[in-house]
Amino acid sequence: MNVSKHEAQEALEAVQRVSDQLRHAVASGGTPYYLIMWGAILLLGYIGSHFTTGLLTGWIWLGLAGTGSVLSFVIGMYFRMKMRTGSFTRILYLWLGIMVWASLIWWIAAPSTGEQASLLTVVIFMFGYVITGLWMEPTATWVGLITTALAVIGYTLFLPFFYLWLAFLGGGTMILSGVYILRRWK
Amino acid sequence: MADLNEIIHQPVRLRIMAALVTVEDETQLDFTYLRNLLDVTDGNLGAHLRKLEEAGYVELSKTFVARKPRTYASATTRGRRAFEDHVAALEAIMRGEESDGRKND
Repeated sequence: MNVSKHEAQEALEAVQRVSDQLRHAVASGGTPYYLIMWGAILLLGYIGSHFTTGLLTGWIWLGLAGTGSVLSFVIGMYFRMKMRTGSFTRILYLWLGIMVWASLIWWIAAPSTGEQASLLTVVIFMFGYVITGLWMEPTATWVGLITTALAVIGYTLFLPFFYLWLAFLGGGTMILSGVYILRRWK
Repeated sequence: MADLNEIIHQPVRLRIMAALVTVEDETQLDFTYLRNLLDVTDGNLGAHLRKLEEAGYVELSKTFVARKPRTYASATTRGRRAFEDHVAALEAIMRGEESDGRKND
């Protein structure tokens, strides 16, 4: 079999192209879709928290969290159909673990105001994004770090507008990051 | 020095192997996903996958997802090794070394 330098170079470039395409697809997985969806949920939920009180706020969050959980499962199944890999199972267990730990931390810390409860929830779940990003897509780690910092700054300096702060800066950061990942790999 | 592998060197098969060895060992790629990634037809991809399967480089598994049949492909250990050897041979050609007893370029 005789192959010229030019043919060898073309073959290696073809290998590199496919490899890069696939690496991006694996790295991103459903991450941008999860970011956009949960960002939208934060946005709507915290706008709801700012303008409503009591039971209605609870129902809004229950509806949004339920919808988000179902859609997360659908997105996960869609990507699992394309690629059967152990990474999806590991990420699923990570998030189940975070939910269990979040419940325990909530129970131990017993936040006394809605703002404290929101800060605690955002910080715990953003920790999940930091870990997911280390495994899958580095942008998720940045989203986790930036959103956590914004949440702490908002709670410390802008408490009266904390829910709107979380809605637009927290949710907005997640939505824009998801869009950024999608556009970068188009 | 590693020799070029005639089965893998065919352009579509080379790209199939490149895709399958890029993912983790236990990862299987869906036939439709692979077809779209490589921009080839069903028949073309099917024929090349069969050829790679016959050589023991690829493992195909058929399953049902939501009552629809789906085919998944993954690279075998032998396939991964053969691909690595082939790429090493291509790189050697790029460096101006001989491959398969012939001087190239």
